[in-house]
Order: sequence, then structure tokens, then C-alpha cells
Amino acid sequence: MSTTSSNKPIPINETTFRILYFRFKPYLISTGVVLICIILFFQFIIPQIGQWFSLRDQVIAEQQKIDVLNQNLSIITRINNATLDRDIQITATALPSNKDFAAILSAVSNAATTSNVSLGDYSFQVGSLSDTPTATQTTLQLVLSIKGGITDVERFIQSLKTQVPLSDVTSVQINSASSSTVTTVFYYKPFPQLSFNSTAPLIGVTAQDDQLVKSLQAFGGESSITGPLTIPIPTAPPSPATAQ
Amino acid sequence: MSKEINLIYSKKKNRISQERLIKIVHRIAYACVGITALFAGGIYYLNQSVPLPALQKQEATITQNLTLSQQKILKLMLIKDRLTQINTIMNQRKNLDETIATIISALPQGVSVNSFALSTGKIDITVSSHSLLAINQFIDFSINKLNNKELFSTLTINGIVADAKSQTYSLILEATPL
Repeated sequence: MSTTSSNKPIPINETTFRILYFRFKPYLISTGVVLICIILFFQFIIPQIGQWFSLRDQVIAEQQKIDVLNQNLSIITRINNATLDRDIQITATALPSNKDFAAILSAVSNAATTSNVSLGDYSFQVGSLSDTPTATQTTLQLVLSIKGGITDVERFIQSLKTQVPLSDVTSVQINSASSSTVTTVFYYKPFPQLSFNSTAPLIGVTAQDDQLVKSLQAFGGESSITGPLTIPIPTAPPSPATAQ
Repeated sequence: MSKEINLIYSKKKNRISQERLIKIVHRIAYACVGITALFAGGIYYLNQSVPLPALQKQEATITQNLTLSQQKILKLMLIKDRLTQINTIMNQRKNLDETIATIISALPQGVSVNSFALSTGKIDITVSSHSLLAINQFIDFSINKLNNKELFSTLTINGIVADAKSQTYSLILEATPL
């Protein structure tokens, strides 16, 4: 009799639900709380943990950015504006932004005077004047005739090495004790397009740079400036901070 | 009778087990609430303790200060660019004067340079003297420099010419500078 009744299907109706409710009533609230906790854990707490890691990365990046900015500020505060102006003048004279014929002739003349050498004819290989100057380093070739022999040429080259604009002797032709030809190239480089980026790490003037500036100054870098230099420094470019 | 007694015992045992189960489920629920509250509180505290807004404010202040000095920064960048270029030029200069000075210093007494052509890839020298011994000394010097790899990487004697009229000997050398 009992076997037959247990095999009967349980009817799904209100009474069945009531029976189930009363039977499992003590578990309902606890199970519901556990379920809600699980939902909260996966839906809110785990994403919040992920967000915290992301925030931590942002803080590290921000801290690094601030370190760079502080370093930049420290470098720029230490530098004197007058020193910067002087260094620009010296370096721009040593390496002009364009073909500075007057400065080149002055350098050649000074080298000849210092080395006690008589100069003859000279010719420039100017090249195209219509080309738009690019930021690459370029040279201007000058072929010089010297009234002298090998020792005169040696003295002249040595003297020319300590003149600005910077030059290099590429070939020497000594025909006799009183006739020589020296081919020289004078360097120039157009100013680069500068843009201000506060977050890019600045490199200050190192001791080596300072030494180089002093050498250039000794070459006569500052004194040979004939007129005001036009340096393309933008007046007020938008900074990344203000742009944001 | 005995069956009924067993039935009563089973019901009681079942009820005790059910009560234990309820207690366990309650405890699990309390633990879940506690863990969730602990995590929520901890995460809230961690997120609140992140100093990002303060750092962003600090960054804005420093950037503003730097913007005021941007002319100085641009000047510094320009100087650095020029100095890098100048340094490269000075390091790459060919120093032909040093080569000439070395050759001049090695010229023996009574040897003179008739012609000399020096470029980055080639040196042509013609020297002359009344003495073959002096010419030989200059050849020795050149060979020494070649062997010691100090001045030349290759050396060719193109000719030794004797001029009976002027009683001079000429040496024609061709070399590749290092």
C-alpha cells in the first residue's frame, strides 16, 4: 500500500507549495542572505577590486609624471635666463641656421691672420638658394687658395679649427712651396621646430655641454655675432595641461 | 508496537538533525554577510585612500608653473640640439692638420715636399732631396707608420726618380690615411 502511494506523482498546486514553504521556512531567509551575498560579491566587490588595481596603476603613472615635472621644474629654475641667451648666441654662431657668408669670410680671414698666411682667390659652392631649408645638417663648401707651402697650410688648418662657424678641411692640395689649395666645408643647420611638452623629461646643461660652450666662446662664438639672431621660439604654444 | 517505537525515535532523530542543519545554514549566512561587509568596507577604504585627485591637482600646479617658464624650456631645448650637433661635428672632423704635422715632423733634413695632395681617402706625396739617404729615411718612417697602423693603412711607392741635371732624387708615394 505504501509502495503504491510513494510512486504516485506529486501534484503541483498551491497545497504542495504551502507544504514546501512550511517545510523549508527556517532555511529560506538564510539561503536568501547567502545568495544576495554571493551576488554582491561577484557583481560589486570583485569589480571594485579590479578598479582599485587600475587606480593604483594610475597613481603610479601620475606619480612618475609628477616626478618628471618636478625634475623639469628644478632644472629650469636652476638655469639663468641670461646664461641661456648667451649660450644660444654662442651655439647659433658656431652652427648657424643658414649660409652665413659674412661669418664664414670673417672666420677665414681670422684664421689667415692668426696663422700668418696670405690668402689668394676663393670660391664658394653655394648650391640652390631656392631650396627650402630642412632640419638636416648641411654644409657650404669653400675652396681657398693659399700663398704658402705645407707648413703654412698646416698652420692655417689648425687656426681654422678654432674659428666659428665650425668648419672642416676636406682636402689639401700643395702644388709648390708657394701655392696650395684647401677645400673647406662650413656647417650650418636650420633651427628645429620646437614644441613645448611639459611631461617630456628635460636634460639640463651638463658639465660636458658647459665645457663645449666655453670652448666655443674661446673660438670667438659670442664676439663674432654681427646682428640680432632670429631664433624660432614659439611665443605661447598650448600646453598639455591647459589643453586638457 | 515495536514498529511504532522505532518510528518515534526516527522522527526525533530527524528533527535534531534538521535543527543542526538550520543552525549551520544560519552560520553560513552570517559568515557570508560578514565576509561581504568586510570586503565592501575594505575596498571602500582602499578606494578612498587613493591619492589620485591630490596628485592630479599637484600635476596641474607644476604644469602651470612650467608653462610660465616655457620660453626658458624652449631655449634650453634649442641649446641642447645645437650642442649635440656641434659635438658630432667636432668629433667627426678629419683633423688633416694633424696628419700634415706628423708628415712634416718626419721629414729628414734636406728633404722638401714638391707636391702634396691630401683628402679623406688618399694621400699623394712627392718629396725630393739631394741625398738618397734622406729619401731612405723618409721611406723608413712611412713603412714604420704603416706597420704600426698609425698614419697609413696602405702605402705604395709609385716611383723614385733621379734627375741628373739638378742632382736630386724624387720619391712619389701614394697612401691611404687611417
